[in-house]
Amino acid sequence: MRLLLLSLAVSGVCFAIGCDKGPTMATVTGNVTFDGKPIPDGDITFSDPENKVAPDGGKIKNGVYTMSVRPGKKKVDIRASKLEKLPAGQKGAMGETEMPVDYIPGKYNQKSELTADVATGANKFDFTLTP
Amino acid sequence: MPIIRPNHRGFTLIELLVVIAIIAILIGLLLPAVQKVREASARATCSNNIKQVALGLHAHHDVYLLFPMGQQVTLGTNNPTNGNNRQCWEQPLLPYIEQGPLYAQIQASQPTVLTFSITGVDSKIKSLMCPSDPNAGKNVTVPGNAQGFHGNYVLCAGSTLFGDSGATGGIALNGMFYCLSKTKMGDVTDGTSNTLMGSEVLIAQDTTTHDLRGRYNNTWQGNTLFSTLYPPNTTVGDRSDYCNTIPKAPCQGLGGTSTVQSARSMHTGGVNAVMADGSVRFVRDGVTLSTWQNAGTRAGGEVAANDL
Repeated sequence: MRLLLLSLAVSGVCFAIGCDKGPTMATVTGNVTFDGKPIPDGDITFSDPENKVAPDGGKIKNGVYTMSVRPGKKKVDIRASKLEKLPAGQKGAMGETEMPVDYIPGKYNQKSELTADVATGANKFDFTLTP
Repeated sequence: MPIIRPNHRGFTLIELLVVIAIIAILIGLLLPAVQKVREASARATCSNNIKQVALGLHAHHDVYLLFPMGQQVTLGTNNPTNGNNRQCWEQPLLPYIEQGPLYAQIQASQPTVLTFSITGVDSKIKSLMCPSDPNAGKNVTVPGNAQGFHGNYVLCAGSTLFGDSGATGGIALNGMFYCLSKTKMGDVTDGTSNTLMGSEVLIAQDTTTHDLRGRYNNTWQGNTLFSTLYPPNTTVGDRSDYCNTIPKAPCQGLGGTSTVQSARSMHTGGVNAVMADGSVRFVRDGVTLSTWQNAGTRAGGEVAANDL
């Protein structure tokens, strides 16, 4: 009886927490500045340059990001937007007078030159972007 | 005089405790199982719906000898370029999923200039809703509450960002459905069993701004398309002019050439996807990235992988 209860309890705990493991993740943190100022609201992606390992994405808030990344050599994309006033007299489809504009140059996202070698465990990468 | 003892005995405390313990364990085992069954049935409904979408698209192809346009205006375009007002593939699909009257209603009030008061677009279309998504059936929007119903199903634009083709973005992408696409069955040279036709996305409620994902009325940012650039349920956020980050569906409010939307669901560990031949598969989040990307292209010439 005791054995039965024990095995039931163990299998129950196993069901509850899940006994399979995902990929080993490294934690990455850092500061991102553009033109000397921290990026208030942005998007950061660590992707495999050979496109074999799945990419990982995170958010930049007030110039700081913290995220989980699959370890390895990575290409880093950074994107951020801000609302910009439309030219006088022009309006968006919903009557908006301002629209979001991507202000980070292509050398940091579409054709990114940023790289990072992410090791298992904790990492810190700061990025200083210039216009 | 003999003593008459009552011939029944009670339970001891230990026996009672053991019984209670067993019942507790059974409840502990069964309750999560009930939840799993519920999700499994929602997933089955969801995959049936996506199959209906595929069959509807095939029926459209039978009539017009081509699939409907992924989106009827180019990416981020304000003005109708072809007489249609920011529609996507869902409107022409409606007659083929038994929503003919709704289609007639929408077309009848389709304006020639860009406005959003289109009769009927608030109607919830049950076969375009995935019951696993708690936000499925969203038709309340800000501002002005005029954006209409949002569906969970999206069609495959290929394996690149939507804006990859430049300023007049969204055209000539490498999938089956993109802006102004006129794909025929014969254009799918990778093989209809090897090419992704559709999948699903998660819908986010409008908060301070509206969230475009899944919206079929006033579609202009590829809202009803997806790309296989990033794997299913990726942590890399979607990008579109207007969106709100929610758990499992992060987003950055920027469009232009960066615009992209990835397949997402609330199912455990993957998304439902339908191939161009109409077969439905459950694709794992951990699918090999190249397999997923190659499946997104209609004529990439890749050797079909067997691990999708």
